[in-house]
Amino acid sequence: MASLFLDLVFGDVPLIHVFTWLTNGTVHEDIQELLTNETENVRYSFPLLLANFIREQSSCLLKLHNVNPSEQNIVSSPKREIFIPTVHNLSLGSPSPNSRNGGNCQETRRIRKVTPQRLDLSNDSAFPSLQQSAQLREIPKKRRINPTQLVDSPVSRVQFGSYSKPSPPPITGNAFNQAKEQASPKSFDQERALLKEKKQQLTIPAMPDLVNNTSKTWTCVEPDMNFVTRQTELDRLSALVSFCVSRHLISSLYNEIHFLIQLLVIRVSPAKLKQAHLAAGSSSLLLGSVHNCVYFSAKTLETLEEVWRHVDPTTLQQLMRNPRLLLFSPEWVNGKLTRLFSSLKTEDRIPPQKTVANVAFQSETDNRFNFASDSSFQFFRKQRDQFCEVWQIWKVNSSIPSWNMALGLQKMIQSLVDLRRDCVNYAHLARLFRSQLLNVAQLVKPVNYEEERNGPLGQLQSSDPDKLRRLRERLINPPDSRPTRCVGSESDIKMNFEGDQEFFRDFILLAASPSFNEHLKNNLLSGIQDLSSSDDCDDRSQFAENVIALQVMAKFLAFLHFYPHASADHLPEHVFHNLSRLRMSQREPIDLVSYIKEAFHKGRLVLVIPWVVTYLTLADPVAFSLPGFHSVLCHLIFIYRKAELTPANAFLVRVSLSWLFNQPNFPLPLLAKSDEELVVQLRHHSLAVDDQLPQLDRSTHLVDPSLIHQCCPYLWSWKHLLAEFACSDAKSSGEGKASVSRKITPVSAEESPSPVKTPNVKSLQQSLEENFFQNQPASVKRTVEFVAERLASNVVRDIRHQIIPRLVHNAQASLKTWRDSFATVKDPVESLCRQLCLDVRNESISSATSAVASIESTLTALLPNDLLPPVQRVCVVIASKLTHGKVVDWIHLHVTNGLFKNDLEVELAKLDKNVNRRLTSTPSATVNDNLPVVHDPATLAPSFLIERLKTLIRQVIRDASKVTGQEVAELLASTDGTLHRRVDVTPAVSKCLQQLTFDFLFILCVFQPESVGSQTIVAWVEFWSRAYPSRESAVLLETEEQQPPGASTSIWQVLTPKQLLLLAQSTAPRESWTLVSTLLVQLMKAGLIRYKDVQEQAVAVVRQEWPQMNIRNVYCCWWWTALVAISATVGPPLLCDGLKVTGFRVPSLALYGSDVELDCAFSAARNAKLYSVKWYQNHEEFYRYMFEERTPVTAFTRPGINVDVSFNIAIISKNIE
Amino acid sequence: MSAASDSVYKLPYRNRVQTLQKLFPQLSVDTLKCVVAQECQRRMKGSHGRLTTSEAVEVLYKRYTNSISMSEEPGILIRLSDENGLTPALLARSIIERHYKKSDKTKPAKLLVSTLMKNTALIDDRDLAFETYLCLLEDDEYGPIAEATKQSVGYEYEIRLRMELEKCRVSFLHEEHLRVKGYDKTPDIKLEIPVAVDGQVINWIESKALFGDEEVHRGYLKDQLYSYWNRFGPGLVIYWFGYVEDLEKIHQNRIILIRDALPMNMIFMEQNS
Repeated sequence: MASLFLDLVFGDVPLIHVFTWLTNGTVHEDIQELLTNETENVRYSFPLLLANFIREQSSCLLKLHNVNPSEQNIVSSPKREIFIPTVHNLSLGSPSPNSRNGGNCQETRRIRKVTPQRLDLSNDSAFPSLQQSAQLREIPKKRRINPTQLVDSPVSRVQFGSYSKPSPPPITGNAFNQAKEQASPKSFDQERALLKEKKQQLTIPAMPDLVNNTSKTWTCVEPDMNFVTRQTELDRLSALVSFCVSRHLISSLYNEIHFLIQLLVIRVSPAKLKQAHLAAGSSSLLLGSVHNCVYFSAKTLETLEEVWRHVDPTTLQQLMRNPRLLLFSPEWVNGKLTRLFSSLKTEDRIPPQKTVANVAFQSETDNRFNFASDSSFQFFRKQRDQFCEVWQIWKVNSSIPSWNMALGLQKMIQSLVDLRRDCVNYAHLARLFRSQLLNVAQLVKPVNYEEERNGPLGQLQSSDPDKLRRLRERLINPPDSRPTRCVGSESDIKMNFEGDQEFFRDFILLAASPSFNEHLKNNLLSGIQDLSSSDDCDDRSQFAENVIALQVMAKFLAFLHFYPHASADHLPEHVFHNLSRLRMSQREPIDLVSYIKEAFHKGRLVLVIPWVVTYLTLADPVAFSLPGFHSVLCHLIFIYRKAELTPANAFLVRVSLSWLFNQPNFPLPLLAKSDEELVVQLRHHSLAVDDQLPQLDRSTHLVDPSLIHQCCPYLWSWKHLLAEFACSDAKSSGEGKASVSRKITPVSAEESPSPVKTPNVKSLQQSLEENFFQNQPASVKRTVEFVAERLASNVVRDIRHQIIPRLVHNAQASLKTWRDSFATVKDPVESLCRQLCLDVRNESISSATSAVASIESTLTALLPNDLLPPVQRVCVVIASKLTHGKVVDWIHLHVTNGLFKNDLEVELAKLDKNVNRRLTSTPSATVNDNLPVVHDPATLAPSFLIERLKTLIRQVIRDASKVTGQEVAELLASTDGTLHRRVDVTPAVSKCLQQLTFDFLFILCVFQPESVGSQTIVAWVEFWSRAYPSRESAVLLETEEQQPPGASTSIWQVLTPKQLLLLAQSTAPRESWTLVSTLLVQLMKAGLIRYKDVQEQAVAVVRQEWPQMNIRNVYCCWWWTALVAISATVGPPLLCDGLKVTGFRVPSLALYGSDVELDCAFSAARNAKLYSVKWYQNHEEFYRYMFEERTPVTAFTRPGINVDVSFNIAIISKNIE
Repeated sequence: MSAASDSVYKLPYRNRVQTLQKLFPQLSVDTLKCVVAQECQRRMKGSHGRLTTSEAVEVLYKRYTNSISMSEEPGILIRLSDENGLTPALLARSIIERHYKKSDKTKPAKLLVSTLMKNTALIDDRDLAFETYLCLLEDDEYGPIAEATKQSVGYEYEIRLRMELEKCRVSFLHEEHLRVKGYDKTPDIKLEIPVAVDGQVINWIESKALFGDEEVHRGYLKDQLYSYWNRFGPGLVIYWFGYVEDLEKIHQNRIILIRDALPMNMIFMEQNS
């Protein structure tokens, strides 16, 4: 084959014939003989062969590139040296699993451990710490480089650190083997020699060496127009290459340009050159000299107008400033390129993307109704917060090199992920994860070039471009300079994540939760599905957002899917086959072929291809050999060759694809297939192409350079090459650099047939509807679906928030009456639920119907107004049908007996509870219930009022400061105002006020009876009964028995020991007593105090000892009388149960030492049996009468009491009758 | 303000607000009260456990019963509290718990004790009832009256915030709305249409009727504010009684503004298209 190229380039066959042949296969007689009957076979592999041919021609020179004479000892990593040069004659098309570029295996890979450049960086004060750590790590982006490593690139040096894994050795068929056979053994020898050298070198400490290196400079051959030889041949070659590139015949667009730039910046030292020439005698090669290389490169780059139109301004700038390019094609640089550059400047950029960094809480998807239970909801609340916390911790710490994520966060992550092993929680967590991930992905802002050029960075560019470059690399690719904090084996797959995405990758790894992974996978899948088919991509920023979101989701989906298959080792053939057999029937999580097909037909390739490529980039070697993948790849190759897109879109698609084709795992034979072999399926379906639809691929405004660079981060390597050249040039040190270049060997393989999809069978109505929408503008369908969805959602919300609560409330109310009337019904809840369910369903349906009524007007407003009325009617019908369907679905799913059961049972339990302790319920709850209160800020704030009351009480008790009647009245007024004219009074506060006001009045009665009149008391009691109506009084008697003893917690405690103690401190007892009894009477009249309470309180008082009040004993007696008298007048008789105290007489005052007659008259029902009558004094019993006893009377002698027994008996016996 | 927080520690326990007022006349009474209250709560958090072991309470109870039997002037518990360091209400509570100790020496039910604290008239021992009542009147930080006051203040300022926002025609949902809608975390105010304050967009407002010192703020950040941030984005917290300078810097990169009143320089979204 090589001869073919030589003939083409040297010969006089017009190139135009070659071009025609390549384009449509017609062979002109001039080239007939050159091809020697291989026309079709060679036609498709021709571009690949051409690319290889050029590499071959320049290989000798590139080998010498950048070799620093001061570093004669070339060190290569021992691990990487597992190098099997295979120069076997594998036949074309042998389906080898690792079929990769064996064509270049004769090339040596010389790897230096440390480069001057790196060292320079680490010494640079600008980036001390990060650089330090970076040296220990590999650079992810650069890991993808295959073994056809060119000599001594700065990139490879870092990459082949001691823990890198060997990449699969090339054992592959090669079309070029014949041409190269002679060269290979030699390089193999060289390789061995290198290895030897390296081994010796290993014992020498590296540091002094490095120090030496930095100080050394060396010269290199500068290209010169005058030394270019064989100019015509080079021109022809260049024309061939540029033709192939521009017609998309060369499948590795990205790589070719990279290679050309490499040629452009080649640096070879004269001494080395001489050596090489002597050794190899390679001067006969076309690209055997620096001059030729640069000339060829410049000529070719010049023709690739299409490419430069879409790269970012910085790359263009670098090109413009490249001295060699200026030298070799000044007209182009100064003319077109400059114009292009200035036109780019004015182009408006994608508006700044989102700045919101958090995931918003959406009540539609995140509230309680989206969870199965309260506990699930509560747990997720915790999970959400913990997730955000972990993310924040990572953000803060990730830039600290010594920080270890596994140590710091593993426990937290694991506990949060599995906090509740429940599918609902996993699903929500996965959703949160995805949302946060997408948020972060969108946050990456495109570099602002405008600012860069004019601002401080621009100045830096002119003064120290090297530093700027490093700075930018750092900003764009943080992981380059940041150690990967990761557990587990190092793997290529992991290297695809950079920046903040590392967090999410490590989160998945550290969580190590299969359930979570599964949910996340599903979530990503549905996300991709939604976005890929989403229609709102017309807006430019929206489009950019979607493209990036899709890429990120695809990347993580691929990570989840392929990570289990990653291997750090090279797989031996039999293992490889076993694995691939195992996975033969494995289902791919995502049907790429159908996505691609759909995208092709709908003209959305520009949206879909980037994420498909991202997905495939992460695939493992075995996956690429699976039949499912085969057809995907065929489609992609076809698209690369044939897809018709607007230039910018095409560039994005093709660069992405070419990147994929360059993946080390990619089965290269496919690339050499003919169109006919590749895709049969795509064509057959193409009748469905709908030209009416707005095609994203056809639009010209969606893609711009910054988006391209964001989607294809690897494009930075072009810039990188140029910038490196520029900076080493600027330093005028001889350390020019070349970077990686890769070669592709075309090998053909049998194409495996892909399964053809069978169309689904649909019902007639459905297909009618489908066709209806198919022929209408797409917006019609969208509008109808949208309206239906929104309406249904509104109806559902109405049902949930209005209808259900109302009906449930009614049911709860009816439950109360049921208790009384249907006490026999066994399960009132069950039947109520059934009834309720029916009611809700009926009401819901009717509300849906009424909602549907508004559809017509809505749709008329929204649909295109040139629609025919019947069409509109159909739309309305479909929309209402959809709405109804949705509502009904919802009802059947959610409105079940179980929905209400809980509510009603709770209510029932509450009722039971209430019955048990009805007295404890807070009376104040009703304060603000009825009327909407207009807030009056002029009234006292409740907290202020509390403070004031507290202070007043304190003052009255402690300091005996006077409170006037006026003040009391004012206080009443302001309390009233606060309670009734403010909206910020909480129940607890209201209750506190109740207590405090009562205390205040009582204490005032005791300590300052003069400032309280009975009028005041009446006013206050009236206020209380208004503000705190007693709700118990009505239901009091019937439930008396159930009340636990001592449960009375009413605030109106007039007669408790404490109050009596207070009363005892009164300075004017008589007045105080009077007031207090007025208070008591008023309270009882208002129904605030129940008779029963008074009774209880009285008993409690009697049981107390009042030792220190002996002197006032008499008051106590008097008071007791008063109490009972009041009871007799106001309340029902003291005792119930058929026993009535009809009279009670105790003298209010008595002389010390005189006789007192105590009289208690009562009447009992006929059948009632009295047990005893007892009299107490100060808690001590002094008299007892037992009716059943033989000697009923017992008198206990107490100091100061002599009981006249007989007298009492007489009274009692009389009353018994 | 930090100076005020510092000097709080050196003052005797009661009536510190008045003392501080003389020291820092430029600060509002509310602020000083808050500073004092927060200091007190912090102190109690630290020493409550130590001061209320059963042995310590036994000693206190003995002293109290002795004083009663000697018919000392009312205010026994308050004097005891001054001496001991427990706030009056907490002391009273411990004494009640001891008083109602069951026969098997276990503590009485919490509910019973709180009921008695709420309504001292129900305490069967009249002296204890009265003493407790005096304690409650005296204590500004603990006990039902103090609790009600604090709760009330918080709610008053929430209402005030709502009214001010309504006056500014800001549309918002408040806590109760959010709860009905099933939100898992409910800030006092969630702005339905975000506004900008001093160049920062805010989506929610939390009202805190107290003084924002670092410890308080950290507590809220952990329990509430970060949760709001996680859900709704940047927001604003209002410490009505002032806050320590530089409090915002502990949020790191999460934007949560801190103010001591509703900012009046809010910038609204343009409504007319």
